[in-house]
Amino acid sequence: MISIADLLVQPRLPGHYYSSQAYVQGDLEMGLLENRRGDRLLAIPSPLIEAIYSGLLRETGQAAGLVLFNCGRWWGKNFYIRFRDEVTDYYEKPLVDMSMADFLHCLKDCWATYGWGKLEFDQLHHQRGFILIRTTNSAFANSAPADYQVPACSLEAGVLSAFFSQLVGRDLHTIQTTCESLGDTCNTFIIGTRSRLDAVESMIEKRESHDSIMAVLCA
Amino acid sequence: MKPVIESLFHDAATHYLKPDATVEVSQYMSSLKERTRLYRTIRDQEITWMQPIADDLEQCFPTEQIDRLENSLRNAMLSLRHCAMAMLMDDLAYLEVHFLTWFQESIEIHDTFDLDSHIHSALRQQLSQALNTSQMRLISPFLYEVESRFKPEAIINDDSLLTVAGLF
Repeated sequence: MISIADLLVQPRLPGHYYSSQAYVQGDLEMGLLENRRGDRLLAIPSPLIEAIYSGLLRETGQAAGLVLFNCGRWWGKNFYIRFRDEVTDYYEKPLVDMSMADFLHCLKDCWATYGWGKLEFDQLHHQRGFILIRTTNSAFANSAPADYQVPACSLEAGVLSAFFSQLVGRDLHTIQTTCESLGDTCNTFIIGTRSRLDAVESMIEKRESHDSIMAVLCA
Repeated sequence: MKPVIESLFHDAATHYLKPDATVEVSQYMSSLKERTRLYRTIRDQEITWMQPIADDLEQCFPTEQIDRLENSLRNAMLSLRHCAMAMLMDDLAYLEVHFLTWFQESIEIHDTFDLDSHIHSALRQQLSQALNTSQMRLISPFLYEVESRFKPEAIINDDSLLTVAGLF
């Protein structure tokens, strides 16, 4: 028999942790943005993202994407730790024991509340060793220079790469096959082991389609 | 908080409230005592109302996993708490931002339409028996808003990947 009183033993009924109104808090006088646990948040204006792209292109040329990817990996490690701690504390369950449905629900809400756009997860190819993430309304894609001729969300690719590597305890890589900055309807990221994804990096530079790349990966 | 009350804080320097807005403020203020009383009633009766719903749920869904039943009951209480708070502030937007978007997605991904709609219809029945007409008038818009999200559309999940640990 289910006892309602027993269901209310915990201090809270877990709900919408990443609700933007509850999650993002600030102190205007101190110029601080914090999350609901009191951890600091960083707001980045679009001109700064544009300046990062143009500065990196000027300083490093074609290596700009690689630099952003590595920055994203560093960012992703910290993002994972914060996400894990927050979700584990709030839902009182280790991340690895969460159902995929609950985990994805949290990740999608978190991604949106952080202002990174809408995130969709596609696990159709997971038995072949790949998972796909699709995002829309990316601030990084929106701020990429018009003449940036390859997928521009290298920073997000780095974040996803580090996030999922930490999550599953294996070194994973991420490549981006479609990008809003190139006129695609969404940004598509393929996550898998580096050895398998390295084989198709050249196809991205040649701007081959996502379907062609998936066909090679799944062959 | 009720949007017209918020406007008092933001627009006081530019203009006085128009007559229809002052009527709205006045109506809200005069209803506040009753809203507060109703909020206290909901808070104090939560367990009393929900226990028979839980008992009935187990009988109506005897083959359903207990975890799923408990999860839907928790969400129903969460729903009631958010409806009570939104009713106190007379603010549908509060319900939307803090609860409904999340709840609707939760129903879809866990495919709990049957359980959730059953619980909410039982909850509405409990409330209509326990509350008087004017109290029901205060809480009903928020209950309707929650019920409007019950659509039998589940997101198809691949059962081969049940937990995060199953990735790669």
